[in-house]
Amino acid sequence: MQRRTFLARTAQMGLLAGFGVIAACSKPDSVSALPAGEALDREQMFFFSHLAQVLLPTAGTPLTPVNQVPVLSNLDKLMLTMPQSTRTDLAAAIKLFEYGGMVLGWHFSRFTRMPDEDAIQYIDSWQTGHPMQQGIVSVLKRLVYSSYWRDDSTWGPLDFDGPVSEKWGLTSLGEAPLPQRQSAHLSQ
Amino acid sequence: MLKVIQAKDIKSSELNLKADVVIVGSGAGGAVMAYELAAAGKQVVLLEAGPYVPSSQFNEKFPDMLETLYQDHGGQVTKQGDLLVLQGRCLGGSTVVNGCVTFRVPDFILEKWGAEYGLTNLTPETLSPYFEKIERNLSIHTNQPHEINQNSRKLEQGAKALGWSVKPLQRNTKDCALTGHCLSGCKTDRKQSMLVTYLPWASHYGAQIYSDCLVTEILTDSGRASGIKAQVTDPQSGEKVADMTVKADLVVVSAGAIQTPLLFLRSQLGSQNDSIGKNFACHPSTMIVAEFEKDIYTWRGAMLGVYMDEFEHPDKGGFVLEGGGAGPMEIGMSTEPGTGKSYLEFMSNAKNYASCISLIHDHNVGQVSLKDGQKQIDYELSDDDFPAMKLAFKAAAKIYFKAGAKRVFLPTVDKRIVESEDEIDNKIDGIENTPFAIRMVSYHPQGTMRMGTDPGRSVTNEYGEHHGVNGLFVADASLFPTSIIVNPQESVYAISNYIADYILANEEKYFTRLN
Ligand SMILES: Cc1cc2nc3c(=O)[nH]c(=O)nc-3n(C[C@H](O)[C@H](O)[C@H](O)COP(=O)(O)OP(=O)(O)OC[C@H]3O[C@@H](n4cnc5c(N)ncnc54)[C@H](O)[C@@H]3O)c2cc1C
Repeated sequence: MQRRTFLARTAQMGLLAGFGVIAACSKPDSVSALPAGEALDREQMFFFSHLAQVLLPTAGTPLTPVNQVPVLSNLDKLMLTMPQSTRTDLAAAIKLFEYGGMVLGWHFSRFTRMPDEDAIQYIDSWQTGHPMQQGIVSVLKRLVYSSYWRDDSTWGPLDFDGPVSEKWGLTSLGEAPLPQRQSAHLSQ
Repeated sequence: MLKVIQAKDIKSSELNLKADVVIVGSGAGGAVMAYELAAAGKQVVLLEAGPYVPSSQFNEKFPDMLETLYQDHGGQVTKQGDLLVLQGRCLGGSTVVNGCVTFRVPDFILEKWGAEYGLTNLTPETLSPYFEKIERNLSIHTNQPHEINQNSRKLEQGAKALGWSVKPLQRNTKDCALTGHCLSGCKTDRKQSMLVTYLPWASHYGAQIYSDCLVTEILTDSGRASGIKAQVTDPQSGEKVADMTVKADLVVVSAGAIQTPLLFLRSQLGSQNDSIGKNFACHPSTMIVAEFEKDIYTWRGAMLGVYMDEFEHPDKGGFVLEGGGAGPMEIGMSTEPGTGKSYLEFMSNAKNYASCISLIHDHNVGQVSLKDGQKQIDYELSDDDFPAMKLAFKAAAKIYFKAGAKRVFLPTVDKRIVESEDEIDNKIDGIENTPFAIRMVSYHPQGTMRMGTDPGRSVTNEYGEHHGVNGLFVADASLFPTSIIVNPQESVYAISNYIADYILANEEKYFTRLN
């Protein structure tokens, strides 16, 4: 089995999600239209903004519009919890994915310049490609999905209840009472 | 009120303590050990690397709690990157964030441990009083009908229709409020985790509990354990607050199956056979999702309701399926429904899904080691274990179709949606054991400090004591010589209590110098 080390660290972000409710994620036309984040640089912000639009085409669905959810700032905050080495590895993975279309397959374009249809095809081709490609595309997808679904505003359309204890007025049972001392009859 | 000394309470840059026993880690193994020894009159110091987060601060938002309560903010993965290894890193350890399912280690596993590793002391008869005691202390009970939600009912319905054995799970909860948020910690303390049971009880008997304290080295003196060194760190700023030394007659390491071997390796306490960190197993788990016509709301109600044990014995397959609820975040990561519109369509139907967790009896093929001083977990699903994984998928798909599912989503990285019963074999047989092929997560790391009578094949003896260092015990899931197929917490509690009793029964051997 051929596996690549940097995937290990980029995959660390697989299940995770970012924080917060700040910037919206409307589709910018160019790299310069987006400010850099604290962890992500402008190009990476631009990359994820394109990826989010492709992965989450919410227009015409009952789901919360992607541009009303702070996907990018959530992602940026998530990155801040990651060690620098992981961020470096992720940057490498993003570059590979961004430019992969120019050398692999028939796309002849950077990912961020692909029209949506082509971008979907490109993503799907990585999904069924070499395990390394599968790993990269899984991580990138998960990063975007988790940064979207972690936001409370996305739950209503799914009928997901979110936190309930306070809503239901549940009281804490607190610490359990001390048990009676008993021996378990050790037999050795 | 649980008394915990935290980084913010420490005013000097150096702390030197003395105790009868120092315990590393406050999870399933460490908390039980602390209580048993403290209640028997020993001076106990317990050190936990993670923070003390009172349950009132649990906000029932899984991503937030992953970052607050879990090891590596929930991002602990294998070197290969395709398996997430979840563990708690907070006072109470993984017991705070676990799903509350409890099982006794199956008898056939104990028999195997006896036959293959010399653990003839750990018979069902010996352990039974320990299990009974734990079950009493942690309010362990069989799920009542109201604790089995629609999600689990689907698993039950399909399994029964196939004539397969399916049972309500047992859980360590008291008056469960059915919030479905177990993995984010139980905000109202219904889960009988160590945070609300054994830790306060240990504290009542005088155990001193420290959080924010990472133990960095085990100290020895002439072949005997003599204490530990630790570092106190402010959990907010990450700044070091103090160095700490605890001198003790006895050291018990209960840092879990990943950190315990690393601590031994950092302390240069190898074993004669170099097996520290080897034999890692983890019940690689997946989530299988099925779509139904009617609303299921998998996230509502008790998170885990029933399990299908028809294939539990290794001769029959070596896996179990547990009806396990999931929120949108977990559902959204569990499968590959396609990119763009098809993904959104899949997510839009979230309330119509039932989900179950597969646990397989994996063999101990992994390793935890230090690479350039950093943790490295090596684990690949072995070709020997792959058939069990596929059998589990097939069984789940059959069950769900019998229960009336419209389609079943497989936990693969490529898009594999089973649209009818006829497609099951074909779709599942086509999965290959390649990296990233299956979306796996482990909740149950085990086995890296194998227990056994033969010092040539194990790290500790049959009572958890290191073969080469007297007074140095391990009491956590790392002791298990093999994976146990079922959820491990209750077995960790029982074995830790058993080891505590062994120590107390032989106290003249262990508590000599400080008294
Ligand atoms: C999300 C999740 C769900 C689970 N669900 C279930 C379930 O439903 N049923 C079940 O039976 N099991 C479940 N488990 C597993 C179960 O909780 C564990 O098997 C059990 O808690 C292991 O006990 P332990 O003592 O080995 O380690 P833990 O309980 O993990 O405790 C180890 C503790 O040691 C601390 N530590 C580590 N290194 C150091 C150090 N150097 N210095 C100081 N402290 C240190 C850690 O921070 C941690 O708090 C689940 C686990 C997880 C993560």
